[in-house]
Amino acid sequence: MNEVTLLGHLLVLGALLFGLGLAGFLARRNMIVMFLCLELMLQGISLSLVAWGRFHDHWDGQLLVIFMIAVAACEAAIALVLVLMLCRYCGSLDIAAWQSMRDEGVPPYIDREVPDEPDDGTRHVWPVLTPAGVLPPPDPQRDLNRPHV
Amino acid sequence: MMDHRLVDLFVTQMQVAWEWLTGDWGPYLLATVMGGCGLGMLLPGGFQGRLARGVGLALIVASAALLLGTGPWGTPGVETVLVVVLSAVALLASVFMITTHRPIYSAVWFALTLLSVGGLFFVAGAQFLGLATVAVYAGAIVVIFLFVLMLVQSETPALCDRVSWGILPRYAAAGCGFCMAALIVLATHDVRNLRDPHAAPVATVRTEHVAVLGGQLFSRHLIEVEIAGTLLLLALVGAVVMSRLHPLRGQFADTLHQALDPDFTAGRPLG
Repeated sequence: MNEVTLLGHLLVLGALLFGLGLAGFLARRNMIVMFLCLELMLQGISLSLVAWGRFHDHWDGQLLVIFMIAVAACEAAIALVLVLMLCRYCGSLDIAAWQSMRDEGVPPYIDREVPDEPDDGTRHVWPVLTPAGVLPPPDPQRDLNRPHV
Repeated sequence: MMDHRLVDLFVTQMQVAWEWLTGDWGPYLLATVMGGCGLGMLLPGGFQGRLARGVGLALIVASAALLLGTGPWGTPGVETVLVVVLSAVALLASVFMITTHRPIYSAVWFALTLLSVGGLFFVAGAQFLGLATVAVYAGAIVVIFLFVLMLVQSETPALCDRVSWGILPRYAAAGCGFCMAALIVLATHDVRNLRDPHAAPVATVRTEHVAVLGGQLFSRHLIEVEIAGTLLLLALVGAVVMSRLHPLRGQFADTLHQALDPDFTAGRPLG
């Protein structure tokens, strides 16, 4: 393996990590996992930068990655506080809980089928309470995405 | 007569498509399709069975191998083994990270990805960056993620981790990711297939690495260092201030409520 093949390999790997992060960001709905996917995309870019810096025998690739790590740390701190506040507000990490901010005229996204999680014995067992009072009228939209707990 | 022309047209188009597939762009297209199908099968809301998940993983691995195989490999050595093992671990860990249903596992798989990317930095001669990735990313950022997960999510896996946006958006997202990867690989095709007879073999250790890096950082990039330090301080202060704010109470909360909820009446207790 010489310099050129190492460069090629690292570039392909960086592209693949970037693509996987992009796919995960688009497909996942958990806000924290979406931010993890963003960090994965940053890792792919760091690999490319280091590979190019080595190929051209120049230090700027590595220096840029150092600044990227610093900015990623800032971004993680701010983003996680924002996620924490959003989660405290609506009681869920689901990004679909905020779909009431969608464009006008766009129909809401409603989960059609929800697969059952195989029970591996780690699920919570909630106590059964005696029903009391009058059952409030059901609201399917609110049940799907509770604005608050 | 009409049928003849249609058949001729069809045959011509098929020939063009076949030439395209077996030509320069073929491997990239095939890798995009295979990777998109495999990742779409694995993402949350996709197939649950062992066999289907195995097929999806095999498709992704085949797609990655196809993309990696479009460049030359050169004579194998110790570095080749290291690079192959580390990149296989990085790829598999990132696939598991975006497909697992539990966010905690997701963060742990991401830490494994970071460890192998740090190893690749070492192979590529960036020792300081390898150390910084392991210490700052895997040691600090992933731990913050785990901390927030512990704070906000009591019951795992929640509904939003078990489903995606539906079948079509799931496969479209997976295909989009692999299409992006294939396009980047295609764009670097010429550089990767450079036949340089004088290319030196990989030298892993460079002497006085950290000293030179620090010299460059604090001479040519001094302003950037100051800006990065200010940014870190600002992020710290901003995070503290934002976490001290009670979530959306007061006038701003009412405005937001009205925007989100047409039949909102002011003064309703929050949460």
